[in-house]
Amino acid sequence: MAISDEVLARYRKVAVATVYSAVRELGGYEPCFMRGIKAYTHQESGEDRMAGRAKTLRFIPPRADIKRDTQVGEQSPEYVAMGSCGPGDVAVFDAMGRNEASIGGDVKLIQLKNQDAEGLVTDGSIRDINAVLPYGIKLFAAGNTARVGEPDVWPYEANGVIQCGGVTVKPGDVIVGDDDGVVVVPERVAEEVIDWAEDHEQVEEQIKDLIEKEGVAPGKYYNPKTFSKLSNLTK
Amino acid sequence: MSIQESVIIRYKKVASATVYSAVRRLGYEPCFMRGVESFTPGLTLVGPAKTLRFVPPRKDIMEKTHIGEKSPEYIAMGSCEPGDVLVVDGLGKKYAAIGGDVKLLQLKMRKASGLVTDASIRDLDIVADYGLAIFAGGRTPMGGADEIDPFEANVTIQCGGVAVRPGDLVMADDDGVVIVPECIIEEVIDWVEEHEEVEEWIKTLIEKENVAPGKYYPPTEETIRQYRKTLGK
Repeated sequence: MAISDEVLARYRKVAVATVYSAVRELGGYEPCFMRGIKAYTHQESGEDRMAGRAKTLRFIPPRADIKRDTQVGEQSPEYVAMGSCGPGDVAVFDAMGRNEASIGGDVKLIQLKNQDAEGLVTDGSIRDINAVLPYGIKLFAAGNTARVGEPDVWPYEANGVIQCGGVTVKPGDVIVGDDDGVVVVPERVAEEVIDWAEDHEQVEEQIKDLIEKEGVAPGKYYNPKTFSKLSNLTK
Repeated sequence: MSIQESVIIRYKKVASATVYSAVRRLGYEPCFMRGVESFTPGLTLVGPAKTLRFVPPRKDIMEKTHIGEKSPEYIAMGSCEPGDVLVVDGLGKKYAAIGGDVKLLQLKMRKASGLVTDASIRDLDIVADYGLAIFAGGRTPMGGADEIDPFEANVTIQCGGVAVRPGDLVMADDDGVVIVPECIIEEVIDWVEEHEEVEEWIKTLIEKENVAPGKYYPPTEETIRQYRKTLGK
């Protein structure tokens, strides 16, 4: 069962830092925070972070024979991947950590706009950034560039298991992003993680109030014992 | 997917530098692996590629892939025929091992001719005696567990920044590793063999005439014609 829109709406309301803590807490699901990737679009409120179901695209180094085999117009892998996105889906592009390599620009990425995709995440670069920003897609990338991608990266496989920013991503995983960056929540723990994250945030609010009211060092209340006491999950 | 033994023998007699030039000339770059060096100095490695792809570790994925004898790394190594080269995409993680003396025993048993990876090898001192030529990003005492985990056998991968498909030719010596795409294997060796002869001839001329190499190098079509004339062609 794919992650529901209701769960995604809940994710948009919690900080990505809290989601990171939740995934870490489970053990066995790190690395989950993408390295070298920054937000190019920013929240306007506390409720419009990026949260979506992953669709994926794997790039490989270019090679003349592979280009011939895969550049087949509308059915090229990048168009299959982007074409599989709809509302609530985040396209995650594996550029092998090649920060400066372009994974697409204003022409190719039109398809994500037309599909109403939630967002685009890559450990490569976006081309024509000022033309792509108005597309209304949330953008997270290692950089932006004027160059084309062809000398560095070539789109190869849609919707397989990839890495991005050093994190494994499987189609269907929940991808969240805000100004702190992007975290991957494996699909099978997505509901457990949002439950923990929502509870954690309400406990942190209480802890921050106590610290401010008493004027003490955070260490007095920012500890597992207090979390346990104030958590609704342990009751 | 198999490459004729006669072709392998021809490649074993030439330099990776010349093979690099040939592949470049035909427009199939990148073909030379970055950050991958010989850990068995003096050995030339030529063989058809089999491949293995690693991804960062994750519990849910590992529950599906860590299944004993049929885990992806054993499928990949088990697919090696005598003379094959296993090329492993280790995401360029220079301190994470793709295997050590126990796992890599399977390559020895399959009589593979070599192992190439952009990650590291563990227990190198033992593995170096397995009859394999080894090219890697490094050597390490660590396992791979925190950074990389085997995921998929015999698909198109990257290694050291080069795309590699099962069936491509791996050509490696002390200068490093060059990948020859399967579709140009014979065209490349034909060019390389003549080019090495032309270069030997040019070097003799340069020394005899005591001129700057630029007079004859790189060889023009005319120079090559002159060379062929000396053979009575």
